Amino acid sequence: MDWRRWLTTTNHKDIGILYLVTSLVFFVIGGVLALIFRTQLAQPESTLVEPGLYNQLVTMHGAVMALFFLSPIAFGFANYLVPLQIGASDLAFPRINALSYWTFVLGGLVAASGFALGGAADVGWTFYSPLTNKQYSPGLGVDLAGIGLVLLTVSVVVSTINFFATILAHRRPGLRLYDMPMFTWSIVFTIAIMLAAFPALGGGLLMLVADRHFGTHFFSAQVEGGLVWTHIFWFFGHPEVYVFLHPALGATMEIVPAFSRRPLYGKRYILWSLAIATVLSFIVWVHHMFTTGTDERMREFMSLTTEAISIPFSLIFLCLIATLWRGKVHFRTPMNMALSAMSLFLLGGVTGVFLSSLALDPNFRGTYWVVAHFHFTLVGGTMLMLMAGLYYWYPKFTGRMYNERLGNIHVVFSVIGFLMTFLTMFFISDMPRRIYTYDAASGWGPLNLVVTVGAFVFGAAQALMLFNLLWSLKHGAPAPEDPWRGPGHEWMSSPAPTPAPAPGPAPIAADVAGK
Amino acid sequence: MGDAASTPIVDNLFRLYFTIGIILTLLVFFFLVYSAWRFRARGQEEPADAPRAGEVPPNRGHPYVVFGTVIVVGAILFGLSIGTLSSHQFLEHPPDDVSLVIDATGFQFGWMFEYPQGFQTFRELRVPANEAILLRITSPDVMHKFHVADYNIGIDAIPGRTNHLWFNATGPGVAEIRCAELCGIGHGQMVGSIAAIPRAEFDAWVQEQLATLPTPNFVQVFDLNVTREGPVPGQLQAVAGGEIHLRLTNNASTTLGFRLGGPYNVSVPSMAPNSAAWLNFSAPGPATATYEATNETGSRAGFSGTLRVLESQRVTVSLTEWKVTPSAKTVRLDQPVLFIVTNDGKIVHDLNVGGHWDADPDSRDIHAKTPDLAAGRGAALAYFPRAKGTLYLWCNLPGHSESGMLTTLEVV
Repeated sequence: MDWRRWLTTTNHKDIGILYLVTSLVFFVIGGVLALIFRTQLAQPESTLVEPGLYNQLVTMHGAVMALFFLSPIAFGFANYLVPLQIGASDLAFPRINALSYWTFVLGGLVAASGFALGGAADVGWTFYSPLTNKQYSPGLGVDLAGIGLVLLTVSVVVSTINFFATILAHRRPGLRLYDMPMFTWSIVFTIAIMLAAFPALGGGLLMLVADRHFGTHFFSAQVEGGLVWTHIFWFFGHPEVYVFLHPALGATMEIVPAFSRRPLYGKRYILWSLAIATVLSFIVWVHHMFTTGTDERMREFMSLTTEAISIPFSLIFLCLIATLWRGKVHFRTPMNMALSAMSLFLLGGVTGVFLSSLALDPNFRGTYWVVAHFHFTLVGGTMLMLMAGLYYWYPKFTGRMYNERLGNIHVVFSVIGFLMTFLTMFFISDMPRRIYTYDAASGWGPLNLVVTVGAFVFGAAQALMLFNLLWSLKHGAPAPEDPWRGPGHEWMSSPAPTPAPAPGPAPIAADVAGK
Repeated sequence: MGDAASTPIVDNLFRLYFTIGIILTLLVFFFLVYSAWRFRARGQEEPADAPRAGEVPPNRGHPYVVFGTVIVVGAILFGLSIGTLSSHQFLEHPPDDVSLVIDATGFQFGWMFEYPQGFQTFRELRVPANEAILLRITSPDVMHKFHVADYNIGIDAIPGRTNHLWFNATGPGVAEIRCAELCGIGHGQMVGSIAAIPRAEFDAWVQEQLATLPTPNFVQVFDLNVTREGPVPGQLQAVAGGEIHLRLTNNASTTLGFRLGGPYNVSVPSMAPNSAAWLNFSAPGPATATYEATNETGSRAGFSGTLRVLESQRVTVSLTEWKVTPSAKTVRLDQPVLFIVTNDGKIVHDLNVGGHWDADPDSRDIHAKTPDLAAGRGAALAYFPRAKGTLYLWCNLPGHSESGMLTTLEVV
């Protein structure tokens, strides 16, 4: 295969694969960063990593994992699958799709280049001001991360418009919006959030860079400049977690019906729930700011909206479980992973209700309790659901079957490693986040050792998955065209693996689904 | 370990959330596992509505699932909200009988507490137990979070904003203060403590603090045992540029006086046996003066000596964020240097004088240092240059010299 194809392609399947592979590379980078600082924290008073480097490691771990892995990997799936699921020949604007991808790659490289250029950003992935002001962070790292994320914002905004145009205008004739497969529906809600939330991040970062270099005072104002940043950042930051979650739920809603051999229970209610959660996600951001002392009525209101958002997700959860009833459940790797991820997400959701409490949050904010909570939702839930999607669509992407035994070992050790790492963190909830070491007298040593061992188990399990996916490319059994008899239309719309794209510009709105 | 009135309130609320949370989690988890296991594939018929390629799956679902979920989850959340809001009212609004209001400042990297009596402490907050204490918390630099895990409370320290946090430590004990918002390289070292002590002990401690406030006045204190007969003349050596305080003790069995000659010409006419007296005077310039014990009649008693006041080089040093600004760039080797240090910045600093500054704090060569100086405070430091060469002046608080609070003087 000609390698130049991958540099010049505008085909949605190729770009989907590029997104998947690139985001998995960022996943490996983010994971290695985590293992380095977990090694530092395994023992009290460890001197392996200096505090300055430690702050760079946690900052880049957060930024890379959240913005350059979780979000783009979902777009890898979306690129590949959405046109197939709705019967479009490609995205509405294939070249703009390529632009999105390359802008994302450039953004990631610029953000991570700080490590090679005298120090990456070390201010936390939330970029709290005034710590990000030139005075307190004179290095290049914050600028590089800021510019990298502005590039990502450009990539995302362009991409959302592309997907909206595709989904609204390029559906196969006769396909009603309501009848679209659930993964495509989850992307509709995802891009709705992205379109509204990412400009806040991009605008905020441009103001931040202006503060640092052009003497403006958006966030460096003497009075409460930092508070302005927290509002802008979390107006983006909270909806952003649903940008991660929605596609993962979308994948789960394809997998659970496929392996239980029953249609999704309550699709109508799930769609309404996703819509309500999407709207609510924009009026909960102050729950990240309960300890800032911002207006009390605002805190009380957002405490209630945060609790309320658990109602639609409870409903989605129950509908997913109800799907299993009177079905014929096949325990294959994608299903096992999806069910495990749902179980872990459950605890993430429940602990989120704790954090919505105005009285409990001040004691948890900034501690390992919060770290445990959001890793349950974002890693145990979201990430593992997306991994389930990787197994589920692997035959579609490659024309080969992955190794089932290795896949199930991955599931088991992911769950064991995950629980050792993140369940343990709930028990060191008096330890502040992002401290590079701690005294032996604090008593946090033994549990931190468990966390670190768990992190390595989890990391090894993910390495096993990557090995499985790479090994099966050559040695996997050839895949049938529709191995799972899944509910989505992608399985019958074109053969797997990807045929080489036709030369010349992509045809527009050709109907390829009429089999 | 310490406890506060807020500790059990938040603990009880946590237990409520935990009990309901764990029951719900287990119920849903077992429902999930049971559903998957009960309907596992074991040769049964494929369901009639199984997904088929190319077909839109039929609709399923009953609205009662929606009503049931909204009602059950809504009711649980309603109950939890009542618990939260009542605890929140307690935590958010201080009672009327606040006995002490303390201004707390989180800074890179430590905590400063300013008491209404006018003194400050660093890292250690002392309060009377069983009394409502109100903290007004702010920051001069970046955001921090004042977090006391033992009390289950915390609030952010934000530049340009004052947040209020109150607590009532129930009984004597020590609780740890931590910073829980990433604030830079020293975030992990922003540790402090709250010591709750009985009221009487607290009052005595306040008096002690008031007596030891550092000032930029240069005061040298000498202890002198005065006797009737001195075998050999004594010798005292001091540095000019400040005050000299002589603490005299009469060791003789009869009443004695004490006289210090020109240019000071001060005296204590009479001291009873085994009593003490202070003789304070200013010594602006170099001088040599003789002193002697006197009888009740004013005549010499026999005990005598010489006070030599050496000429000094006065260098004022201003500490600000993030600069150390001395009034001179060179000092001479042959004279003591009198550093008059003032903290003109917004947060706490100190001044260290030494022969070598190093990026590694453990490898710095410190010859003399002031105590921690709060904003607006000052201290005097007499220093005898040891050799020609470069003398380093810096603030030794973590990160401060790295941020620019480092300068040099040449000893010539």
